[in-house]
Order: sequence, then C-alpha cells, then structure tokens
Amino acid sequence: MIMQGVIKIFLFFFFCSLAWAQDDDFSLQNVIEKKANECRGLSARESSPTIILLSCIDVVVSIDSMLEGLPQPTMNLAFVGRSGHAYMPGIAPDSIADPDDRAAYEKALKQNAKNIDIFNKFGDLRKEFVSKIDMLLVDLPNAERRYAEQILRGLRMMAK
Amino acid sequence: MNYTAPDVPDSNVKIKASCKEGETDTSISFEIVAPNGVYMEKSSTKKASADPLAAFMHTTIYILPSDVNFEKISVSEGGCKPNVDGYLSYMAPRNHEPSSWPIGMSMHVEGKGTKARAPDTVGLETKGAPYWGGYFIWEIPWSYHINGKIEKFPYPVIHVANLAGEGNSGVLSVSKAGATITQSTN
Repeated sequence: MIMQGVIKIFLFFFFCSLAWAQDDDFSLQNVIEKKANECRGLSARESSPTIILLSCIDVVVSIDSMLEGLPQPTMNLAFVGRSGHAYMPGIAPDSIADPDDRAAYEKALKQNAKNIDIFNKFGDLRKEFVSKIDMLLVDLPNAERRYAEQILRGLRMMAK
Repeated sequence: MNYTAPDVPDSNVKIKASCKEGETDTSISFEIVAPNGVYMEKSSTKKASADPLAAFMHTTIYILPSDVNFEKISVSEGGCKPNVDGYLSYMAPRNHEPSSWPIGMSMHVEGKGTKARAPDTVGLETKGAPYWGGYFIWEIPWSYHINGKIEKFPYPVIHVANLAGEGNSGVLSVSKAGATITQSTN
C-alpha cells in the first residue's frame, strides 16, 4: 500500500515534469539525460534502494514516453512520390528519376536516420536502467521487491 | 548476473564461479558464435492494391541463431544491383541503397532470435496491366556492428518479388528473409 502511494505521487510529479519540460521548450532528451545522470549519482549509502528504484523507473518511463512521441524509424522507408506512385523501400535515391521525388526521399531518409540514432541511444539507455532495476531487487524489502518485480516484467515486455 | 561474451567467435569458453571455502567451485563451458542469419516475420500490411498490383508490409527483424542473444550488436544493409526478368525488367535501374544508420537490437525472443529495434518495410508497386510473368531480386549484403568493428553476415538477405499473370489478371508476391506478402488482381 505504501509502495503504491509512493508510486502514485511519483507518477504525478513525473507527468508534471514532462509538462514543465514541454512548456518551457526544453529538449525532452536533455531532461532525460539529466535524470539518468542524477540517478547514476545516487549512492546506496545516501539513498534507500526504494528511492534509487523510483529514480530508475522514472528514467525508463520518461524514455518510453519520449520514444512513443517520435515516428517509428524503419530499416527501409516506404515513400510515395508526387504522382502517388509508391517507390520500393530501400531504393537508392539516384534510381529515382523525378528530381522533386528524389529530394523529398533524401530528406525523409535523413530524418529516418536521425530517428534511428535517437532510438538506438535511448534504447541503450533504457537497457542500462532496466538492468539497474534488476540488480536493485535483492536490496528491497520483500513486499516492495514483489511489486518491483511486476514493474520489471512490464518494462521488459515493452523493450525498445 | 549477466555475462557479455567477447566480440569474436570462440569454440571453447569457460566461466568459473569460485565459492566460499568448503563449497565446490562450479564452471560452465560454452561456444561464442557470430550472427549468421536474418529472419523476418510479417507484422502488418502497409499497403495492398489490386489495380495497379502493389503489396507492402512491415516486418519484424530477428538475428540468428535463435538461441543466442545478440543485444549488443547493431545491423545494417549494404547496396546492390537488382536481378530482373520479364514484366519487372523495367525496374532494372533500381539499385538498393546502403543503410545510412545501423539499427540496434531490442531484446532476445526465445525461439525466434534477437529482435531489432526497428522494423523493415518491404514491398513493390507495379505499373499496372497488362501483366505477364517476371521477377525482381535484390541480394542484399548485411553487416553487424560490434565495438566499432563491422563484420559481414555469411549470406546476403534475399528480397524477391515475383509476378505471375496474363492480361488484366496477375498475382504479386514479395518476400524478404522469410516474410511474404501476396496480392492478386481478383
């Protein structure tokens, strides 16, 4: 019960922090990196395992929220030209005769590459903190550990 | 506790766990293998049309062998020229573009392999009737990236589109690494 109350308060502050980050036009990615660095800095001597656990969950949930707001990158792009013709995903831009289609396709490829980079970077960061949660389980009291194990199972199923 | 294997294949690796005094030490031997294949599953239909014949799908990418976890690698596609015949010969100048960025791995899925973080999109749109037989094949070289090194997969990934038909009726089938989508004019 206490753990559930703490989680609810934590979620309230989490969503407030997201709203604040967007309102102030802060980069969400920078906010997440800052949270990750703060969490890494929490030492077992100065913080309880529960506080470190909540901080790790905060980082993972923030990453999930940020990635869900981005277009899903793909290995090869489906691209539809001005005439409505759908080009083959994976086609080389210099194989496209229409210069406007080629330029639009090259732009879309660059955006896709940028999104892949973000997914790779934050997907790896997510893995780091999911693994950290796993390592923390042993230090938690029994009731909290059971609750944290459920959260961990859910986070693993939503792996990015 | 998780163990990350070195980034080179090795047929004889042994991990030894030392125990407290009075208890027996234990060890486990295993082989480190490199990624050796790509398997795709159709996850959804992106677009399918009967006129003109077109079939596009999203696929989930898995890295093989299925019983090895390759979470630390990322993968990319290389460039290649197509091999074409029949109706699809007009697509001869359509080369495959190398990936501009490698895609990392999400998680290991028991029985399937290591799932890539992003799906692939596979498909082809024809220029319409009249149809007759033909094929379009890309043999796409794949590479995996690990610790700043790039290694090639032993075999290319085959992307093949087959068209069968006559006049106004036809069947288009597009496959890549085990995933297939088929669309007919009927």
